[in-house]
Amino acid sequence: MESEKRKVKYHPNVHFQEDSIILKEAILSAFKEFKKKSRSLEKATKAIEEIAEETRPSKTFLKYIDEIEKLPKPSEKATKAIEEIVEAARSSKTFLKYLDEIKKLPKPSEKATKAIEEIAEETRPSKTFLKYLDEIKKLYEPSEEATKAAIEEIAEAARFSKVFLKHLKNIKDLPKPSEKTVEDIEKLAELNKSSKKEILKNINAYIENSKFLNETLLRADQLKQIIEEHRNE
Amino acid sequence: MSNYSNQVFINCPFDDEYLTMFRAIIFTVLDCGFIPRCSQEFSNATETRLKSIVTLIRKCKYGIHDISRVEHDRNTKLPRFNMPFELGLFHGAKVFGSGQIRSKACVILEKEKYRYQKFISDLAGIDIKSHNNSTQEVIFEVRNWLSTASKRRTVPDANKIFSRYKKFKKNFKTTCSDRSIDINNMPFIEFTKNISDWLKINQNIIEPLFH
Repeated sequence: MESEKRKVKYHPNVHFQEDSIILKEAILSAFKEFKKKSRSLEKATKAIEEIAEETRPSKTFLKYIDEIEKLPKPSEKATKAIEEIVEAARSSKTFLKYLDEIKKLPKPSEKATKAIEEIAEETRPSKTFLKYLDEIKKLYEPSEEATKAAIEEIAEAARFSKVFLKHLKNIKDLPKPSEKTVEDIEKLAELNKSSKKEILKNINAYIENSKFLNETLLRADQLKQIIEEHRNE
Repeated sequence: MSNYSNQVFINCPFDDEYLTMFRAIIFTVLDCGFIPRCSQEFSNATETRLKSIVTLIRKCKYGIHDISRVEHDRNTKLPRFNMPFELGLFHGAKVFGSGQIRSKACVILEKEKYRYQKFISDLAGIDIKSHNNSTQEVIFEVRNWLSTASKRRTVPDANKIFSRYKKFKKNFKTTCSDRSIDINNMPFIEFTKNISDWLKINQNIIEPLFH
């Protein structure tokens, strides 16, 4: 019985520089085997790639989703405040237009973000602002007429506020969605027909969760501040 | 002489009729983990043949002596004395040598069990193995003797060696035929290299490359 492997030896006068016929044949045989396997592997890889191409989102799409997921989600407070403002400013054409503009905006540039931060710094809720908010709330409650009047007052105030107009200009100056972004989204929709629901869900999430909503909040807060300032004048 | 205990001196006929047996012995020696040596490996024309044989015998601890071909040569009509002579040299070295030379061990192979007594009666009392001109039998005898003489536990099973030899023979024949190589005229050293390569290739892989 073989308890352990014996070591195969070579004759001491063997020339190792030259391969034996057996070795040459073994190499050739192994090469043929490798080639055969490689060919079948190539076929399988191609098939897998084709399936993957059809079924999985493109790299651009994944990158895009990642970015969407990274975007800050609006806080409860912010959402509530936006709802309040939208409710209050429903009749204001300028405000709605402004909101539409915001929604159309692409990801803010560094410059825009800085501007927003500055605005936020300036419009940080003060005691007066909070008081004003309370007053607004009180205004909604008493009567429809009072609410209507308050809204009209806000719209009117906003319309003539120089600060508001200045910031509106700033918003307008923000870059519009690039052709590439539009193209990417179209491409994604095309590529992912099978997962259209998923894309739509993510696009909705994008709209809902994007920075733009936070910007809206900031700008809305700013608007309130402007109105307050206007009132106090 | 560090490889002394690995070297096996093969003293056998080199004619075409014996070629299959000779190759089976070479394969068995290599498969058992030893190195076959024989007078066919000499290339130095300046040395006398006898001197080369003596040098070779000195280097080998083991010796395989086949005295089965004592018939008259077809061409010369004379008997061949080379094998008995070299057996005598090997035996003399063991008896008169010193040191590790005295540790020499050999096996004597014959065609039929007691035939030798008729032409070399001096060997009476020595265990002689018969192979009946069968490669399977010669493989078994050589393997069993190497295992006993060397006491190595690494010597493979006789059936495995025989099975491998058949496979090698088939592969080698096909390979040489595909490359238009004359298998019968391959030099001894080149032949041993092919065997060593084949054994190495087929022991290190799960699926043999040759089918």
